[in-house]
Formats: sequence, structure tokens, C-alpha cells
Amino acid sequence: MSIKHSIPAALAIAAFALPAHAGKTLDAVKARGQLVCGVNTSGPGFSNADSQGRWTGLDVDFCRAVAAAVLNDASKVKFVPLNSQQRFSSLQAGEIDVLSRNSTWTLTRDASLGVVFAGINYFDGQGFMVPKKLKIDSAKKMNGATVCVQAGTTSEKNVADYFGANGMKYKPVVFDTAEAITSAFFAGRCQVYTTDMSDLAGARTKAPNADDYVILPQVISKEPLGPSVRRGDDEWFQIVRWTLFAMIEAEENGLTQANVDEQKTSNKDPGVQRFLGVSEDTGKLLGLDAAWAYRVVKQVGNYGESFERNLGPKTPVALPRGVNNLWTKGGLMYAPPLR
Amino acid sequence: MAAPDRIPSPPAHRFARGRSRLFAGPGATLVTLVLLGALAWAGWRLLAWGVIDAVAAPDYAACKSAPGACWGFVAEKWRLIVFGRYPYEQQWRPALATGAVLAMLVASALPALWSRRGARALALGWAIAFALFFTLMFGGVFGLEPVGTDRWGGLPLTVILTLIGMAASTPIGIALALARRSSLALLRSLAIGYIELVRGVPLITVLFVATFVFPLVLPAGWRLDPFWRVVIGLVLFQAAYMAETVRGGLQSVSRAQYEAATSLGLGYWQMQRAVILPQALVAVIPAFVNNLLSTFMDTSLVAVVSMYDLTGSLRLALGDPRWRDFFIEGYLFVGAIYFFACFLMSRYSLWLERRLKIGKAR
Amino acid sequence: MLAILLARNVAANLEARQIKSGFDFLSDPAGFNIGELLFDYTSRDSYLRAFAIGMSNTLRVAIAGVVLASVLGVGIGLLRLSHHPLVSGLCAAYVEIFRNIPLLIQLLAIYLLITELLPGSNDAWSVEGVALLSKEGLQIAVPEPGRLALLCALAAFVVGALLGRHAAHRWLEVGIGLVALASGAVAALGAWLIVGAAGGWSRPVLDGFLISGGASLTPEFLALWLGLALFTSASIAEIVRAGALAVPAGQWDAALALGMTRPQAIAGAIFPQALRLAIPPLASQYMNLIKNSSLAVVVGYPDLVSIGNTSINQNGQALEVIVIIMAAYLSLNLVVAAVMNAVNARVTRAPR
Repeated sequence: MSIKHSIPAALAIAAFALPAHAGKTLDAVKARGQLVCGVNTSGPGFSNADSQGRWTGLDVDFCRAVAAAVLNDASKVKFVPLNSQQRFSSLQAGEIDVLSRNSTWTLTRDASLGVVFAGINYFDGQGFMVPKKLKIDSAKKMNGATVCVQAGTTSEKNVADYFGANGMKYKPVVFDTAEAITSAFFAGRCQVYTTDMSDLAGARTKAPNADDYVILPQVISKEPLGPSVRRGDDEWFQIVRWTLFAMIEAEENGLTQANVDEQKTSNKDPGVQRFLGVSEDTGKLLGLDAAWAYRVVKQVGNYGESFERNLGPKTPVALPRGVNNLWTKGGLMYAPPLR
Repeated sequence: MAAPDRIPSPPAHRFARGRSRLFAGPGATLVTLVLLGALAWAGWRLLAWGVIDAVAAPDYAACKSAPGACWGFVAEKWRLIVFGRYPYEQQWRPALATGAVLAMLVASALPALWSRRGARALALGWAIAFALFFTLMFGGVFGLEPVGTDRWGGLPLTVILTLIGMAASTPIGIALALARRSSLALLRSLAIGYIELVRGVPLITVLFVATFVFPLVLPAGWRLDPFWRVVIGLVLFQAAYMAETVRGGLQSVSRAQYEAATSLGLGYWQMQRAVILPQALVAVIPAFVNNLLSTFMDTSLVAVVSMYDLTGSLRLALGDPRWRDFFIEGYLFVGAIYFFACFLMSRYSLWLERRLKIGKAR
Repeated sequence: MLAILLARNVAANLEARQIKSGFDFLSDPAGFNIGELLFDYTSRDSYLRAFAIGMSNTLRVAIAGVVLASVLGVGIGLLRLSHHPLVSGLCAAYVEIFRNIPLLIQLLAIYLLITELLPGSNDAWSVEGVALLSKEGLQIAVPEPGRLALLCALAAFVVGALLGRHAAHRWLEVGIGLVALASGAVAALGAWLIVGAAGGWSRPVLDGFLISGGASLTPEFLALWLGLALFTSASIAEIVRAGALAVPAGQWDAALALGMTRPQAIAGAIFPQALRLAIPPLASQYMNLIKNSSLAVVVGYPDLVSIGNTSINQNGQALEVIVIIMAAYLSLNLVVAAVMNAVNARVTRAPR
């Protein structure tokens, strides 16, 4: 094999790659001192950067929670915006430590992409958005419509199944980026835009005239969105999964960012004391220290606070809590006990 | 055919010949009138839209109501388009960095500097310019805030991708061209295989390979920045085309040179370095500039793999729902930048070609 | 050595991440729909069929692009030779503009122009019963028995071209090829209209908010086709011009001496000879056009690369899909090279 070919390639690889311990994500994150988190390039309410480069959103908060648990500081996160094509390959390749990018948990993704989902932080479903002037009031009246959909998403497959099951035909127009889709949809190229309901709400905030568009009530699929990690590193998987459960259990126990310090001393409930690391060290079993869950709540807040801050009624997106409420309040958010 | 009464004298004035051709006959006159009329009408409409009724201030309300162009969009968003998502206050850094490398580019284009001493000065200049570029862009030293490659964008990104692409693909291309002419059958077939494979596939597939396959190729746990992956992809792609260009040059060097060099006792590498390559490379300088031009245009494709070069950052700017309607002005702005740069390069290439032909003593 | 090392890495990584490999996925159902179909396909069909559709879409836009680019390029290239300063100046401007702006920008700009500036399907611009132009694209009326009409038109083209060539041989010395093409085109058009008249027309009609009937060219196809054609025609015009200028001056003198006007000389004498010189660079321009059609993914046209992209995201098998795509483009290149070599051989035969 020609040396001429290997030298440039080897030099390039050697110069710009950063070796890390294979499979031991926790050690790598600690050594680096920063969590690398894959997020959406632009997902209002879930992961969005303003023009100064500050990130906010439900998924962003989750990344910060993991950083708080592992690195003691919720601000030590580097956000890597990824489009829908690159997200899983980036995770597989080891460029990011956790993918928190409103991605749907499916069997195919769990079993064949080399990733594993750590939990669900938003129960969503796929829906349709249409211009009001077309006077479509139900998803079953869209026979023959042109549908804008993003490449590489579960939406492509779901819409094929839905239209097939209802005996309707449609013409898909597939784009690579969310910007291209919304641009084409708002220009009028397609009559229907289909993606998760939360994305539709976010996209509508970017419409030139949001009142001209209506989101149809039909939800055609289950889209449980959640963070995912690389397959093969169980320790890291447990940390990420239990950080999510910590946020939910914190809300169940009524611990908020504001009251957690006071609760640490005053609340004698054994569950709460264990949670905050006062009576027991649950963190040791995960490879963290005792106050890991305390830090999550103190620096980021509980699940409800994160939801309120990013998707609540005061935000432009304004999604109802709905099924994302605690199980005690009629929703689906349920955390196994931290013990 | 009857002989003319007298030999017509050539028109005295330069434009007289053109004028006489414009009205040479009834057909030509008709064409002239129609075209002049159409051009005048189009020119007037363009002037009205682009200048007279246009709005230059970044005032959204004025833009919506005015019938003309909204150059306010450009005024509002030009920094996002030209510098990408680089932090707003730090944008003097990419400006300075790009200025430095462009200055070196202009300096390299002056034939006056193509002497032995001049070449050394140029090489030094390029090294300094590249070092300056990366220091300024990356930051992290001298009190400059660090900025990762994911925030690089716009014109600096386009320029640096082009320059690194050319700088790195040239030695690889030369190596491939030499390998292709080698007497070792294995080397030759490998070189031919690589060149034909890469030249036969679209750049997009190479970029996909860079994005999806490179990570799998590296040992587990190694991470390669998306920026460097795209750079490697571009370099490997351009190397094949560079190889063909250099091959043309190598073929133009006469056999006599090879024979003379060998008879002087020079080894293979000495011969290449001292005798063959200098002649071959000088012979293909115009083609080299064409390669530069096509690399420059090819960098626009990185927008497909989510890097915000000049084209990508334009799409980003147009994502703002308020200014979406003024996409024509945006595309004209960016198109003008590309056109200006490419037109300059192609004119330079033609000028160079003529100059080198005159220079050849043969 | 390096190759073996890299291959081992790839295998190890795939294993560790439990990504399947191998080409078995080709028989799995694809699970996604495709917007432009030349033959039947549903989401339950296999990946292989999906790739075949992608390939057919690539071929469709490539062939259409080659035809339009050649027509435009040859036209502009020859007009560039005119002595009329305005004509040749405008052609020079055309060439410079379309060669110096990247194809991606041209594609995106044309696509935006089509989708933003054309009216919605409710207020489409129409030629009554024949064609509708709107954001949905261009819909034209076609004969009901569509495949039959296409076959008849093709057959008529061949017959018409042969007859035209035969007739031209008897009456003309030069320009035979052009006459043959023209007569073939007229015959094809005639056959098309006859089949339509006999079998009935499928006309595009507005049905609610949809347009049904007729054949449609989507805005994606139109943008890609126009963009590719305009960009490539500029290079073809330069090639044709360079070929014409390379024809020995003696040929010009001879043609003019024979009493031809300048346009006649260009069309009849210079162009055929210029074509001989131009065929190799023309071949590489056609191959460039085919490669450039891979930008379809940016405007949403489902060509081979776009469908490959979707597949990679559905099943994670990036390596296999990329290999398929590369193999497809390499074979297309081989085909084009072979065809152009054959044309070249024929054209450079000893002149009659």
C-alpha cells in the first residue's frame, strides 16, 4: 500500500482527533470537564439558541441537569446542534455524550442504530398543520394533498402508514432541513405540514401570520421523545436515565429550585432525605457523589419547572401539560423510586 | 461575383466598425432595434426596482410597503450572512483573518513575485497568514475568547475551506499524478482506481462519506470535528482533479528533459524536484487557477451537510420569518459576491494564460 | 496496510454499536412514500424498489437536463459568434453570469422563485384545458393512453428523422443532421397529437384545492431541470465557441466564397466541424450534469441520493447505501463515456 496515501490520512487523523477511553463515557466527561450534548438546530421550546448563542429549552435543561449531576455545574455543557440526519450517527461516533433532541423512541432505533433510549421527557404525537383558508377540518379529508415532511424522521413513515390505512393518497415533498420545510410550507408549496405536535406549535410561532394556520386535532401516532446514549456503556446509561427520573421525582416530592435548600434541612420525609443525599448516598451506586440529585434540582429545577419555563402558557409555544403531567395528576410522568 | 468599384477602407474609429455592424443590413438593424428596446425596458425596470423605489434602511415597515427592492434586508442581515453564527462582538476576528489570507492570495497572484526569493517570501507569508487565521478564529490565546468550529461560517468559512482544500490537495494530487505514471503496476493501478472513482462520483457523496463513514473508520472513542471531516472530504475530492491537472503538465514536459536529467545522474526524486515538476507545474498554472475556481464554487455544497458557509448562512438569515419575503435581495447579494470573486479569478486565469504564452521563448 | 487497519476499525465499530451490515436490508419494506414516480411504488415496497425509483428520477432529470442544456448551449455558443455586438455581448454576459455563480445558489434561487412567486393552485395561470402553472408545478394535458402515446412519439421520431435525413441527402450538402432532427421532432409531435385525438386527453382540472389529471412537472423537478440546464449550457456554449474558433480559417473563407451568408456558413459548415472537436469536452460536461443532479436533495426532488439519505436515516446502514449510490453514478458515467466515444468515433470518420 502506498506510503504516499497513508501519510496524509494518518497525519490528518492524528492531528485532529482526540482520543478518549473507549466505552467509558463518564470518565471521559469528567476528564474533559464538559458535557457534550447533541441538540436540535432550532426547536422552539425544546432546544433553541438566541442570537447571542444562549441555549434554552426542555432538552437543553435536561442536558444541564446531567451536567449538574456529573460535573457539579449545570453550565459546563457544550451544545452541538444537529439536523435530523446527523443526530444518531453523531451519537454512534462518539462526538456527543448524550443526544437530547426531541427524538422519538422506536424499536428500530433502539435495536439497530447502536443507541439506547434513556427515558421519555415528552409524550408527543404526530399531527398536521394546514392553512385555514383550505377549510380542512379533519385529517381524514386530505386525500390527494401535497404533504411537506422532513427527511429521516419518523414522520415520513407514519404519514405513509396513516394515509394508507385511511385509503387516501398524498404527494410527499421531502426536505433535508426544518428551515427548508417551513419555508416551503409557508410559501404555499404544500398544503399540509406534518411532524410532532410540539414541532408544529413551534413552527407556527415562526409563521409570518400564525393565525392563518390551524393545527388539526387528530394525533396519528405515538411519539415518545427522550434522550438517548450510545449502546454499550451501562454506567453512563444509568446516570442519564436516573437524572431524568430525579427531575420527575423531585416534582412528585414538591421540591423546587426555590425551596430545595430549605427542604434539605426541614423536610424529615425519609424519601426526600434519601433523594437529597442527606440520609443515604444513592450517587455512589451510579458513580457520582451523594448530592447529585440535589444539584439537579438546585441548578435546573424539577420537571414541572423546566416544562413551565420552556413550554408553559407564558411562552410563545404554549403547549398544555396534558399527558406530560405527573401520574398523580392524570398524566404519564412516573419515576421509579430513587432508592 | 462582380468586383467592387473600389476597395473599402477600414473604418477609422473603433466604434465605427461596431456601429456599422449594428446597422449592417435590414435584418441586423431590426435585431438592433428590438434588442436595444428590450434592454432599455429591462434596464429601466431594474433601475426602478433596484434603486429608485428601493428601501435601503433596515426598516421592516418601509420595506413591506415599498414596491422596490428591500436592501434593508441586506443592511440588517449582512453580518449574519457574511460571518455566519460567529459571536457578534467578535466578528472583527474573522474579518481580520480573512483579510490576511486574501491579501496573501493577491500577493501570490502577482507574477513579479515568482522568482526564487519571491517564492520563499510567499511561502513565509502564507505560513504567517494561516497561523494568524487559525489563531484569530479559534481564539483561546492572547485573551481571545475561544470560538469552536461549529460557530464558524459565512465568507471566512468559504475562504478557508477553499484555501485548505487547495493547499492540501496539491501535494496529494502531485503524488497521485506521479503514481499514475509510475512503472510499478500496483501503484499505477491504485492511483488510476482512486482518481477514476473520485472523479466519477458527485461531491455530495464524498461529503456523505465524510459525515457518515469517517466516524466509523476511526478507532472507537476517537472524535473528529465535523469541520475537519468536511475538510478531509473536500481535500480527497479535489486531489483527484488536481492529479489530472498535474498529469497534463507532466505530459507536456518533453522526453528530452527526462533523458537529460537521467544522463546527468539524477535520481528519481531529484529529477522530479529539480527538473520535471517545476516545468510541469508552471505549465498548468492556468488550469490550477481553474481548479481554485471550482473548489471555491464547490464549497457551497457544505451547506448540505449543515455547515453554514456563505450559502448556508444565507438560508439561515432567510429563516427569519419577518424577512422571508425578501429572498431575491438576499440571493442577489450572495450571488454578487460569488460572481465578483469567480469572475475575477477567471479573468485572471485568462490573463495569466496569455502572459505565459508570450513568456515562452519557444 | 492502512486499508486493512481501517477495515478492522469499521468492523469493530459496527459490531460495538450493533449496527447491522450487509445488503439484506434491500428486501425489507421501505416504509416511506416518494413524491415522484415513474412506475408504481408504495411504502410497502422494498428498499431496492425505492432505489430503482430514485435512479429513474435521476435519469429523468439528467436526460431532460442534457437535452435542454445542449439546445441552449449550442444556440448561445453559435450566437456568440455573431458579428452583431449586442447579440454576442448578451451571449457573453449569459455565459459569464451562469458560469460564475455556484449551481447550489442558482437551484435554490429558482426554486424559491417558483414556490414564492407563482400563484397558488386556486389561481393558477392557465391555458384553458391544456396547461396549468402554479405552485404545484406545471400540469399539462396528455393523451389518455399515456404509455402508448410515448411509444408512438418515439417511433415517429425515429422514422421522421430517417426520412428527413434521406430527403436532405438528396437536396442539401450541409446541415443534414439538423434537418433530420427537426423532421423527427415534427413527426413525434404529430404522433402525440394523433394519439391524443384518438384516445382522448387527460386534462388537468382544479378539484377543490387539488389539481388532478394530466401529467405534472413538480416545482422540484422544474427547479432542478432549469438550474442544471442553465448552469451547464454556459459551459457548453463556451465549448461550442472554442470548437468553432478552432476550425481552420480556411473553412470560413471557403464557405463565404461559396456565397453563403455568415449564418449559413456557421450552421452548415463550421458547426459540424466544431462539433467534432467539441465532443470530448462535451462528454465531460454531460457527466458533470449527471453528477450535479445529486443536488436534488436540496430542493426536495427524490433522486437517488435523496432516497439514499432517507434510507440511511431509517436503517442506519450508511456504508452499504453509499456504496450503492457510488456504484450507480460510476455506471452512469461509464454509459455516458461509452455513448460519447461511439459518437466521437462516428463523427471523426473520414469526411464524406
